[in-house]
Amino acid sequence: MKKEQLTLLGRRSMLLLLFVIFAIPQIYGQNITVKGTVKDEQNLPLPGANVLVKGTNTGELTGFDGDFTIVTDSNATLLISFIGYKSQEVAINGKTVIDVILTEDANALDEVVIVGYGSQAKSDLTGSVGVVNSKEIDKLTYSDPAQALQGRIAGVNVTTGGGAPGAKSIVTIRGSGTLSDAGPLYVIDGMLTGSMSSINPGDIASVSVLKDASASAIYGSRAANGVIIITTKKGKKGEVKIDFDSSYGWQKAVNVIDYATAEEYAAISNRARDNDGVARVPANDSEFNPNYTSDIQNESLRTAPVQNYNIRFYGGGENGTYSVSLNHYDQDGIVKESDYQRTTARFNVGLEKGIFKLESSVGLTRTVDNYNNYFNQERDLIPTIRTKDDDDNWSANDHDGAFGAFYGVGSAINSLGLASIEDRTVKRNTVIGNIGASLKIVKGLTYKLNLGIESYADNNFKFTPEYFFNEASLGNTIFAELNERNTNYLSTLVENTLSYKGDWDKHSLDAIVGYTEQLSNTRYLGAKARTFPSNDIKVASAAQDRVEMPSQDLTKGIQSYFGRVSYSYDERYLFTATVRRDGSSLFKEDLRWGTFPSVAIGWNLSNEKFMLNFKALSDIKFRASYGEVGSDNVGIYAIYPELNLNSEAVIGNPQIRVPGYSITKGVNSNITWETTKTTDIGIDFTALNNRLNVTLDYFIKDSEDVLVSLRPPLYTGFDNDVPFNSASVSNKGFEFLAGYNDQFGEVSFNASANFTILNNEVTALGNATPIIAGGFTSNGLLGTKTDVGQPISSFFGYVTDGIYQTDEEAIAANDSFNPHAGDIRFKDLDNDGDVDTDDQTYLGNPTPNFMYGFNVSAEYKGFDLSLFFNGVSGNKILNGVRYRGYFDTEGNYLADALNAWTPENTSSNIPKNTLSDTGYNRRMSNFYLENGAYFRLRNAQLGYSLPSDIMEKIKISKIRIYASASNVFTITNYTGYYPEVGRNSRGNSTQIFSSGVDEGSYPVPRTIQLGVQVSF
Amino acid sequence: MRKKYNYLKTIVAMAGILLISVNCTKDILEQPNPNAFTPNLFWKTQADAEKGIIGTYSTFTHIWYYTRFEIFASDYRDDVVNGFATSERTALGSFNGVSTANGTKWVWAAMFKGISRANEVLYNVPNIEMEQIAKDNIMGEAYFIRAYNYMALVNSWLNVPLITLPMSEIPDPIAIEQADPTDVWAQIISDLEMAADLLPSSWPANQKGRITDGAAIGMLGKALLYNKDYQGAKDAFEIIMDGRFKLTANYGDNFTEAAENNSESLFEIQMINDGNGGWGSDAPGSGKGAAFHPDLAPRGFTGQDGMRINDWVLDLFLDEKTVNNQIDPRAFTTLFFDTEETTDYQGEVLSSKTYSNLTYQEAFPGGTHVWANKHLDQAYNGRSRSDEGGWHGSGNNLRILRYADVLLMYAEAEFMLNGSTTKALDAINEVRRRSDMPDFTTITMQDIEDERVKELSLERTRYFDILRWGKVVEYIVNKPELKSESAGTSSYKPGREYIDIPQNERDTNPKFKPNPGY
Repeated sequence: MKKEQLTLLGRRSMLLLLFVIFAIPQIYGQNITVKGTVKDEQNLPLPGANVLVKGTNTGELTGFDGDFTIVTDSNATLLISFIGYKSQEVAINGKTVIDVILTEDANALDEVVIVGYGSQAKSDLTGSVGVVNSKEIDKLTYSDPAQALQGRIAGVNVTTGGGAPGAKSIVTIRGSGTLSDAGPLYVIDGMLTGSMSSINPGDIASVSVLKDASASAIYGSRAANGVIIITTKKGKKGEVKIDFDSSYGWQKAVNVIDYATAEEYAAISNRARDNDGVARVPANDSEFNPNYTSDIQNESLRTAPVQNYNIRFYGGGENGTYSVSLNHYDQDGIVKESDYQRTTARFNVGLEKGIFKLESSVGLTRTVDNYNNYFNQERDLIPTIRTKDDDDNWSANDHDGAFGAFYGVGSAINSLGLASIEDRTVKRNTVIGNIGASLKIVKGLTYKLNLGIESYADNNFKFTPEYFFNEASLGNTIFAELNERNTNYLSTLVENTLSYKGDWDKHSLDAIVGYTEQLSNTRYLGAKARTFPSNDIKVASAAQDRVEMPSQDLTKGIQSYFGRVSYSYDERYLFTATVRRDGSSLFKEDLRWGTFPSVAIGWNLSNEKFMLNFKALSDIKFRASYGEVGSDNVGIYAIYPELNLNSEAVIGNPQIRVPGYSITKGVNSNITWETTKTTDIGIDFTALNNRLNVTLDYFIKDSEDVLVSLRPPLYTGFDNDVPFNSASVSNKGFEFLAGYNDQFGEVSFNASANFTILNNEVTALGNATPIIAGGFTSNGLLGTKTDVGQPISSFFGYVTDGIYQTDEEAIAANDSFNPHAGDIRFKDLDNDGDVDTDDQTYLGNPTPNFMYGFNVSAEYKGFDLSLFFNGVSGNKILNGVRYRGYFDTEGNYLADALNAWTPENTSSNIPKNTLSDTGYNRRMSNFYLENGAYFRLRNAQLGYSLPSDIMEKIKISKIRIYASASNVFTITNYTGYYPEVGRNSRGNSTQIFSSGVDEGSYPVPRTIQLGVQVSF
Repeated sequence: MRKKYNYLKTIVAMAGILLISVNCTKDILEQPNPNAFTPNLFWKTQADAEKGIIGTYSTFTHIWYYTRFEIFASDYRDDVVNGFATSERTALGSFNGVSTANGTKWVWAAMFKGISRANEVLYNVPNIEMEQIAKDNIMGEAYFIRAYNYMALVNSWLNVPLITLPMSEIPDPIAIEQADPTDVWAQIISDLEMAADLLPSSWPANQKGRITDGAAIGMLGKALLYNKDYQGAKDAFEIIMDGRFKLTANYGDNFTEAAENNSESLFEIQMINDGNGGWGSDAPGSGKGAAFHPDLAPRGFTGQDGMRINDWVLDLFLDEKTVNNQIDPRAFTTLFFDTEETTDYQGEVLSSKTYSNLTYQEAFPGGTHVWANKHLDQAYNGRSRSDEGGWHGSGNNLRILRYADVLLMYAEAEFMLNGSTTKALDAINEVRRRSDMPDFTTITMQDIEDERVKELSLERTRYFDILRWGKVVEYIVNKPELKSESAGTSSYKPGREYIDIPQNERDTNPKFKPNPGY
């Protein structure tokens, strides 16, 4: 089976390559070149107008000055169109210069939107689809292109935990409807995949987000968490054009945490020991040495460069188009010892001859991620120890003799030192691409075969040398250790579709049916090896002990049938029905197939005769849809029982480890799809003479049969969570999107705004227990609880109520722990006269219930300015640094711990400094929670394009220089690094249950960039 | 003509692409797991039986069991240990072993792993065609491991489910109910009797550390003693007081890696420091070392909050002197405390030292706390801290049942039956004499209690002694100062001598009831 697949792929890639090589020379034909400009009635150029050779797909968009150049048959007819204007047909008749004036048309809304397996005029759309195009995407430099969606589309939430270079974003569409880390489906030029991070943002032409089931049901079992369709830039018929864009920027942390200095640390530590009645330790007291101090946070931070280079060649001839682009992105992290590079090459070609059409899109990506996961770790270096010794070597000890007794901590990592001496690199080479061939069988009827491939080879390498910073735990190793893993991934897609498009009288029909198969395989082999002849030899074969060779082979197959009918009558009444039937290898035979239908209706009210005289609003359209989509988000082979081969015991003299077998995995073979039922009601309209367009949507998204992991009774001996389809999650929300365009003299002005109101609630768990998770320290405290009636990952714990001022007061409270004066008073919420576990409650949740973004841009002569703001509110953040900074006895304190309660400082809300914490102040409570709302200027960009008369002289069509700044300002009360925190990743737990938990692992930078764009 | 040619070309192109798209004919939706061995192929051969029993043993070195967490459910609950800081580690000790606490479930889960694996062995091995002796031995080991775990469970959780079949043979695993503790004890005693019959008296060197009939008989005596069946206990102990076990000459040999599996040892958890430090168990590279050392070590020699020893323990040691008028040598083995005195013992000069060979004043200038020293093999391999080499940096076996304990339990059984008889005196004096302590000429129950503190502190038995004597309230609850470094004892309610039933069990099995007091 496997071999067959691989051979098949070999053949497929070869074919792909052949097409790339042979398609290009065929592109040029013998034809005339037609040039011209497209202007409006005020004689102002219309950039972005569509110039199409009628009856073909040949065409291009006009440039900044409304100019176009098109190569076509001298007898052809050009069809010129632009949003909000009446389309025009102009016969060429041998002319080589054609200038066109378009007149405004209140009724035209012929913007084309990319949807699943096709495209639709916006006026015909019945589903809810959000679009971001290249103009917006190009404004920021991203390591992860998903960030380009942030704040741009109502209902789409993008968060990144911290500012690490190459950090992956989490995209949630219309709220989480799953209790897993499953994300949306990405469709990149027709290839179905799980991520868009390998794509160069500069290659993206447009991104469509399919939000409701009407739009997404065509992707059936893959669509429950939304679908994001990425279309890359294609060539245009005409001369060779070159776009070049280069930028260089500087990044610096937006915020740093106010940790204690050595003096402050010593004072806090001494006071804690005095309070506990324990002797002070010498390093903080009698032997405090002001010369031996450090500030590991600030020593680890730097101002770091980020650079990006894009170059794209594109053009086309009679039968074909091409676009070749290269990109190099190089980002140094603002935390030392971290950087990320991405290099991509993309080859997009199109070939069209008569009834045959071929399109191919291939992207090659190499990423190199040198990450630093040590920064700001729990138990980092305390400030009474230098980071380096007298010989300038990394160290974590300035004292001879017993470490713990001298410094008062049992462990001390030197996060910067360790990050420096260790090698950590993840390298990945990715190919993603497709080749689509279509044939027009008869008029309107097209057969298309689409072959897609995604493949990557990933090398994950970590070498920790033998080192000695101090004798304490985490301060040394007794051998060098190599951890390396090579992963090969291959996913192949075969899609056959038959589509029909036809109009007669007032009827218009657009239909498609298809059959697809997708097979994916991951195979990895790793090595863990120890004890090397030298710290410079870093291959497993040189190791004395080869300890582990983790390896796995995972295959998943999906077969699908699908169909869609879109019908419209008289451009007034719209109807769309979709169905997809999917079979997945993840489920057992009788539960394998799922059917996902949707229907939608639309009513273009403005096209009714009785609306002819209604001028206040135009293009009024009502939309309503209902549909079901699925998610097959279970682990591969989850339904199969298996023996654990690693239950080892030690026996013998001499003692050795002996392998044993056991059953540790409980299995539920009866798992199946998660199903999400979405109802969407929307209205679109324009007003103020088409200058304002508005889209409103209300949705109810009920996810049922949601897989929830249930820990079986521990007396079964199983220690895994077994998935059951027993939970339900409901998301309800309202989305608003408005755009406004206007012209004031020579200033053209453009603004858009969106907001989302979202309500997330777990409505059932079945037999599953509430999920308690959200760890924020290695000491086992958990911050979140997911239960019926509450949003996913709600914060749960005690409620603080000031500080006990006297021991009597503390004893009277009857706390199940042992508080004294200076400890936190927790509320007796159930009023039963004691403070115990029954007094915990929900304390807020990490999902914003209000998200908004707005964009303002203006152009005046050669200058352009754009400002993009976004914000969230209604969410809480668990600031894990508060745990470490006030309670953990093993690392540095926050400077604010100095303001703790003392008999003299009784008004403080910080409990007394203590090591033993007999009052259990550290228990999960709202002490850790902070308001997560923020409002920020996400990006500001100012550009200047050199005037066209100069450009004509130097034969360059465009030179634009720009300055751009991201995270310019952020208004927030959050005291951690940054209020955009994503999901914490402590342990191996499902990250969704650690949403909003922040351990400050990587600060977010503010970036200032200068760039230049040149087009030839 | 030209048009026809184009059409032909198109057909060829489409056909070519179609051809390669015809996927393999097999059903892509049938994907068997190529990574794992499935249970239905297992339990066929003697080698499978061996693998199964080793898998059963492996639960003892699960991180939730003796490699680390069991100490929080035993010694951290007694009157000797004063654990630092309120946390999941000290919650059980301050009677906060509520259903939702992690400490409540960790050890429970690991013990039931042992039981479920033993049940698999006991159910499947009889059907395997294999050597009868090997089969008997493996069955005996499984009976012992099941009994041992049930004994630990009923001692800590009281109302536990009694499961004696593999999960796959139970029609509805969540219909199981909690058993009457009497029935659990009956099963324990029956299992230990079976084990005693089936187990060998010794194992070859390459199998050293596996359970013997002597261990089963000793454990049977302990079970009977816990049930106040003093005659039964005495009879059982007498069987193995036949010379097959004997006290080591040096008390300290019971706590060093050099003298593992010695003549005094009936049952010990086999541990190893082989560089593997993986957290957990049943996974490649899991640590199998004594990861509880950081929870015992003096402050500053551990990355953990750790604990100290309550002062009364030292006072008890110092109440009497050796025959040479020196401090009890067991005090130096057990504790690290502020003294300049030394004791001559077995050709050595014992003094109060901790890791890195530091004296008390070197380690804790001006300090007064008493710290633990037992198990910490500070003298072994020159270890400088409890976590040197990582969590699993010590491969020192943990002795669970040793002959000295058997002698003291025998003395107790005899005392309860017949009072301060010669047999009782001989047994307790044999233990005392090994540590140069003067013979008793007559004993009281208090003497036996005190001797058990001196001989067996920090060996996971003290709390359960207090519990079976019915003295938890008197010895611990009424002395909140013994838990002053964490949450005191104010959370105690009658019934909280036992830990609550883990919330997970109650959530998944509606028939489960919480323990009294919770």
